[in-house]
Amino acid sequence: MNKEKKILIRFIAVVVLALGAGFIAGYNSMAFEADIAAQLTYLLDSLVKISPLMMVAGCGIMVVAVSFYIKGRNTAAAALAGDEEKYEKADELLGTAVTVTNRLTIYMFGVFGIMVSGFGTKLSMEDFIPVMISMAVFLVLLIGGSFLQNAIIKQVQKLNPEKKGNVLDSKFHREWFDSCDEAEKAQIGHAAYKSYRATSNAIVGAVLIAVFVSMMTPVGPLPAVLVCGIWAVQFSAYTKAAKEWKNKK
Amino acid sequence: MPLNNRLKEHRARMGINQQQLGSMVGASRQTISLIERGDYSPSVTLALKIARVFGVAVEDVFSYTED
Repeated sequence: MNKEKKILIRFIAVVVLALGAGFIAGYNSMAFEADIAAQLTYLLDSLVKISPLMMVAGCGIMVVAVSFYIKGRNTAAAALAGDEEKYEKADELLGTAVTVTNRLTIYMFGVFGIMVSGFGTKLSMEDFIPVMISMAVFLVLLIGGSFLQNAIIKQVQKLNPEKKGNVLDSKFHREWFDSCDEAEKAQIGHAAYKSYRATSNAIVGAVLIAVFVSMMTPVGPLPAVLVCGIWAVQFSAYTKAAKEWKNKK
Repeated sequence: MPLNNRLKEHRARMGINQQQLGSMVGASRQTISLIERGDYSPSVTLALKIARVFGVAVEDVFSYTED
């Protein structure tokens, strides 16, 4: 069997499986009144209840990020003092610090979204103090994370004076990219392509989940519309960039 | 590695570090390090710039061998 046939069969199998799963779930829901919505709601309610704790746990991630930054800063100081062997280690430590900080931001916004979804419904007055503490933690981590990222980037710029941009400026990504050389731009291109493929797969999964959830719960069409909107933005940005590159003089 | 290089040797001859070479050819220290290790094949433009800084022909810095 040639490669194309294998791909076609795999594609058809995925479509049939998705259709089958959708049919079984829909039939199950309508014919037997399986309370999938209640189960899902219970799961989400539980997440809302523990969200203040999850927010506080973000402090642990911040501690990890700060420790990588401090180690990176010390190693960078040794490199700048003349120990050339330390350069790569400093790059690695500061790179890890940036990664951890970015992951913390994603985590915090996720937890924040879960927590605010419970305002006025799942969270009662008993939860008032923990929620207020969590909100304060969220703000501290958000501002602290921005300052930490700024400090990390400044350290990276000390190691690599050709790098431009200020994290707190909205033009940071463009300025940083423009100050990269050919190898770094190639690396960013490679990483962006991998990211495009990963998010494309994730979006397809998210659309299926959003459609499934809108069938089972009274959440409405917003999740599916939102995910499809992100899909459209991603695809348009990709095709526009590809066209621009092709027409580049 | 199909692309061999003598960057380190030429750099030592001139008494410059990776950062300085990078500044002279418009590349970062990391890129110079990647090229030296054979982990990145530079563009023709960058290879020519490097050779010019060393004052030699590009073939004296880079050589290609079949795998």
